[in-house]
Amino acid sequence: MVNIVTLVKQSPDVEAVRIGPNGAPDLSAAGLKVSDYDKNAVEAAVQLKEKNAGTKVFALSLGGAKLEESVKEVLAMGCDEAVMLTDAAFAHTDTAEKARLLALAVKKMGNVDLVIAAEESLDSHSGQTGPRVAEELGWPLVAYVTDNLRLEGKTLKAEREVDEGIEEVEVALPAVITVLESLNTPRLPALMQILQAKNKPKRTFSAADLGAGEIKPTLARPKSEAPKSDRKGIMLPNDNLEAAAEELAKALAKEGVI
Amino acid sequence: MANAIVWAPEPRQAFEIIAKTKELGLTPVVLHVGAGDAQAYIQHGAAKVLVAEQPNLKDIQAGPMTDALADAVKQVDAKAVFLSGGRRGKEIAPRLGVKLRAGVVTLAQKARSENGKLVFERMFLGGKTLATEVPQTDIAIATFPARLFEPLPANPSVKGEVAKLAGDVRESKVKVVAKKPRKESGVNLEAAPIVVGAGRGFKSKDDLKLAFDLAATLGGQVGCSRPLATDLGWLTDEYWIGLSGKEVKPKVYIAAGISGQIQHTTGIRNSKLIVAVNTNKDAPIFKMADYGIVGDLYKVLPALNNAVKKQKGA
Repeated sequence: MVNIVTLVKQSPDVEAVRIGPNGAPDLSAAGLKVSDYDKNAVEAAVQLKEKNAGTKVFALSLGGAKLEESVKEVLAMGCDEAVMLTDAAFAHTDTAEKARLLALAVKKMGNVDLVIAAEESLDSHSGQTGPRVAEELGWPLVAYVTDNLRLEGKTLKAEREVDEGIEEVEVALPAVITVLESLNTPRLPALMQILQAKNKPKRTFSAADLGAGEIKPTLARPKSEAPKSDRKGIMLPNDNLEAAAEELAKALAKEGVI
Repeated sequence: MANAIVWAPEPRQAFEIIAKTKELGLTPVVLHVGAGDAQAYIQHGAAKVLVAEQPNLKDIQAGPMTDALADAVKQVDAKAVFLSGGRRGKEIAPRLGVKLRAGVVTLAQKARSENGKLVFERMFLGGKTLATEVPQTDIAIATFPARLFEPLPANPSVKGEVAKLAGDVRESKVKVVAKKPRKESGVNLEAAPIVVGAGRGFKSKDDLKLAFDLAATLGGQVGCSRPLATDLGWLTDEYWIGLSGKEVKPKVYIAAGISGQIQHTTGIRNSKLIVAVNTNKDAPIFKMADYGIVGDLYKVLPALNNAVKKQKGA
């Protein structure tokens, strides 16, 4: 009997974010979605459930008023229950405080053996949440899992990819792991699963429920704007591609790069 | 001047960060794990080296490394910790952030000192923006991508202090059973002076020969966008350039049949020159190109290959 918590972030759809005339991002038209890579984490959890009888998968998510829309998606993928952290006090958290809150929720849920997170999120990609949750819980971390993820009783085994190559590792649960996209291909739920997801149990915790205390971000983010392009933007005439290629080769030689 | 702890698994990356640390007006103190030449850091500008010989650090796993870095901070009363932005640094920095209650900026593209605070910029919103991030804590932690900074030239006559790292570090609960190389090796995209990036414009795996031929003529390497490494599986992850893949900064990046999704362009943004070849004149890649040709890569790449050969012969 293993209880798995997958961390699920609701993120702006970054490809749809427009950049305004002053360089500031306009998120109003972008919409919200499950951070793509989190679906690899959910897929990993659901596959472990399929191979290990008695395993239960929880989706844990911190977010705003529309959080349930994203949570339903991962319930349809095979998570059994959802725990949502919503509170007006969470509007001004940073990655560090979110990780602390997620860890408090894992403790409150109790009997959790394994936390699975994506290596990074779609919008912030700081890669901090998984490692921070591990340290908050005092649990070991297996980051960058790419292959052969499996459970043998209460021991987790996996291959992870680090700077120098691949490490085969094992760890006694409880533990936190982060997964890379190459681990699996997230499933597309069938209509029946989407319909069933509506009836799966959902719980909501507030800051008070978690005993969160004062929320104090460690980072300020005073500015976020599109980097200015200082590229030349020279378009070569394309009526004769051989001539264009020769012109390009000459330009590159003149730049001193070939 | 306040001390900053520097650690990277590769000495060259530590040298790069030492140079930046000094530019920020901080005193670089390097944590060195295991055997090796501690004086090399000093010759590249470190004021002091703390050598960690604790056996629990043997596999440089995140748990014990977090303790070692926290001990190093304590030992020299450091106000900042700068780590390499590779996978090792990226798993350690957030854990150290929890342990020291410190703000962490991962993969900072820029850093400066402003009114006594460290100010960083990093890619945000999937690469659409650069966000300015300022740690609000007594200690600031950051990781930097490799090759962002130039190391200082080595000065063999400089001598500095080498001390032992004091303190115990936890035993790693994660056991490394085996280590093996990646499935494919020999591709070192980050070091390649010229990179030819292949995207969805290629119709089959065999056609990638066009990119490899051009790269060979230019003395460069081939890289690819996300779908070629993931969905299509034509190339391994080692070739994958982008937000979730490698970041390259060659002298010339030639984007062939790449539309320019943010996921990819974040990995090429620091290239000196960007060349784009695409049949779609509205492809976003042209907006960040120095030179662009609207045309079929199946014609342009062989023509460019010939033109480069001619140019080199000239």
